[in-house]
Amino acid sequence: MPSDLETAMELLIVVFHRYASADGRAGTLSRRELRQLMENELANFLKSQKDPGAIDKIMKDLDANGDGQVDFEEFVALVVGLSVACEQCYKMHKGLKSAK
Amino acid sequence: MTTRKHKTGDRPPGSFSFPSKPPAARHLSRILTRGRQELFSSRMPSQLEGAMGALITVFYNYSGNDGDKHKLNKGELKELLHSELSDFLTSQKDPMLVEKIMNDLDTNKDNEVDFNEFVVLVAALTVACNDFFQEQNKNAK
Repeated sequence: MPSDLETAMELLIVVFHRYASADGRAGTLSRRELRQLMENELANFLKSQKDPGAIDKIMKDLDANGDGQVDFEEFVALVVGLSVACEQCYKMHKGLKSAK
Repeated sequence: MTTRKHKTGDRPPGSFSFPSKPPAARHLSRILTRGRQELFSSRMPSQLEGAMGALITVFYNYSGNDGDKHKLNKGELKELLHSELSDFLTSQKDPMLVEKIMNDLDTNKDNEVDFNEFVVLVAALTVACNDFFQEQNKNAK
């Protein structure tokens, strides 16, 4: 029986490959596949950016080797960044709750 | 530090190396903090949001036990590794592994691992798992 952490890690892999295998190269996200992934999996975050060019900026940032594709390791950088941002928010909320 | 890609079950030579936070992640953090309030919407989370939430929940399940509630001391990290990543620990067959992991993760040397430092471990392990499964799939064809 996998632990909660193992399940979460497995989900990152499953979600990535679900979108990465839509077209072209199966192990990487094209710009279109990244857009699909973000619109389905990170809809709220995208809305909050209020920047229609957000996905293109994120693609540019993630594509460290400049090959126009986002591989899994590059995708994980997005997950790391988002999780860190979430945790900061969570800490703030916890701090506000205990202050009341 | 460089990312070391290896199959789960392989024993890495020397200490376990973790990638330092890549430049993309640092730049991203600036973009992402603008949107972080929205990350806690009350609607049903997507699978990806659920997975990221789980990383935070797991971390806090162990970090809150004693001392600084937002950080893992060595005892809490050891408990987390044994409970959540027992297969990985067993496969490494290195009795000093927890010490080495603590040493590698604690980049600011305060003897505690905060979430930023912890998530690097998760990232490295997940990348290693993905590499392993890609290899397996290639060999199976």
